[in-house]
Amino acid sequence: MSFRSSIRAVRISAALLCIFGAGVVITEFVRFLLVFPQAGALAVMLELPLVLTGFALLRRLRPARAPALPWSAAALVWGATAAAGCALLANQGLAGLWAKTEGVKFASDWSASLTAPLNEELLKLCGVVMVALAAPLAVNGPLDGLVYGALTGLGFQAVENVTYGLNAILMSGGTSPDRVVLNSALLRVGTAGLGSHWTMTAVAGAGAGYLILHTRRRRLIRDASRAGVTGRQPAAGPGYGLLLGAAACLAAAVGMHLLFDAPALAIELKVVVNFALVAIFYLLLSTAFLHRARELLTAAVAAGLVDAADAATILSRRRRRRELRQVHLPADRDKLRERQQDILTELDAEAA
Amino acid sequence: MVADQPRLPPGGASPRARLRWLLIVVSAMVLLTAGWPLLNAAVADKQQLAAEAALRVGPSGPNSASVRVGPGWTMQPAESDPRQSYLLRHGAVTVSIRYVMLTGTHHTAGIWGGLRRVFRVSNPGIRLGTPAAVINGQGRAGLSAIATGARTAGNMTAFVGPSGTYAIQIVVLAPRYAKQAAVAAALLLIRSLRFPAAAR
Repeated sequence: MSFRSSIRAVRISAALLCIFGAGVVITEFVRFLLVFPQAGALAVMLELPLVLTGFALLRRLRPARAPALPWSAAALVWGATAAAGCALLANQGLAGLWAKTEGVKFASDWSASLTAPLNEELLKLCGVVMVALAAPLAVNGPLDGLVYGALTGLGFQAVENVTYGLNAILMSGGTSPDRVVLNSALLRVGTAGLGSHWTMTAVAGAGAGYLILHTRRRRLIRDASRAGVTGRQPAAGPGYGLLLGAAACLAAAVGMHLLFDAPALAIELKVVVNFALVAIFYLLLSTAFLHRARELLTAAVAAGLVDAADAATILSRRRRRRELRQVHLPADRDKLRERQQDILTELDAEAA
Repeated sequence: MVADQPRLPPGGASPRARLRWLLIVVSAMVLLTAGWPLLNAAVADKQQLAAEAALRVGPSGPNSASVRVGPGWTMQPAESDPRQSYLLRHGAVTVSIRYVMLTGTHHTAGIWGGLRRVFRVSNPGIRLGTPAAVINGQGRAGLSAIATGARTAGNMTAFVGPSGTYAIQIVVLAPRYAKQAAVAAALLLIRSLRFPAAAR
């Protein structure tokens, strides 16, 4: 199979899984929208600010330049459709098993925290892997994985918030449906939003990034040995530590989710812990990325491959824009933009 | 970017590796989405209840209610949660007992419209008749209405708890041929319904 047809196979599969997931969500909740159209519309509308703001902010997390818009949107859509829809079915199945085997009292206390972390983290993580498979240059390492993971989690979070709002109508007996939906959204977005799905999937996504980095290193070593290269080998070796990192990230994401769903803990504490974890992890990854990028740029300037002026501006969005504004001829501006993007693409791949 | 340094290949995998990973992802999705439900379906969703067993529904003592069932009743654990609801069966009769947390303080008449709409969400195609007054074993007033569908008959009953901040909704449904059994089940549950807060 050719490179192009393998990419097409991934994209078609991803689209089908998204359609399936969306179908499950719609089938499950369409009755609410028919019987409570106003409250249903409100539940959806209340998530729009979260989605739009979150989407813009999370894309800004990527240093130097934002991830590609179509793939950012694809990650968000995967979370909102394929992951959310499949999670509905998987969670119903596993939660039912807990109740049948361990009793309804145990299931009432623990079913959510023993069901959702396993199912949902894996289903959301599949979205990051799908983006990496569908767009070969999109995910180069843990930082890319973190951003795409956060976007996938955001999509999932928004749909879950809508379903919680609609379920709250049922649990309140249909009395004051608009108020119930508003309260649910305020709790889910206002109180829990900062430490919810986007944080967990960001950590799991970084794990996918480590896995991708591991496979890239393995390919490099394999290609070098096939070509009979005896000179410099990649300093880091095949990177089995990266595999460990990938597993640790997934375990951490599951742990964060378990904590989030655990009974008898204040929601504020859960949110603070999850947010702090992802913030620290992000700062470590982005600092390391920028450090490596600066080292690469210094070496490239010394080798005469990149202008010192370009190297000074390339890592800052604002400085790049300012540099572009200073070029008056559109053709020259396009050429400069193209050069900037070429350097950034190389940096993304090598500093990951 | 630096000429003499070994460079990592871009993030994309080879076509074979890409298809292998695609297979892994799709398998994981299918395993979770179909595997758990299939395993769940393989385990019987039926727990025999002792005759005269009392089931408490609701989050805590004063904010709860209990019903007592007769002989031959079973509970469906996968659809039951002591904090929120029970799904019970007796022969062809299915009973749902749901704790409803109200926003503000209400009387039964004030929440009937909302409950009727919620009933429509869970039971499409089944119509509710005009509600009539009923009284539980503690002498507390509630409302009950006959439910009629193409092949189903039964009723919905609601009582607001003593605090007025929660309600208990009981939906009894059975095939039309078991209409009398449904009526008998509803009467049994209405009579046995107790609010601990009202007993004090």
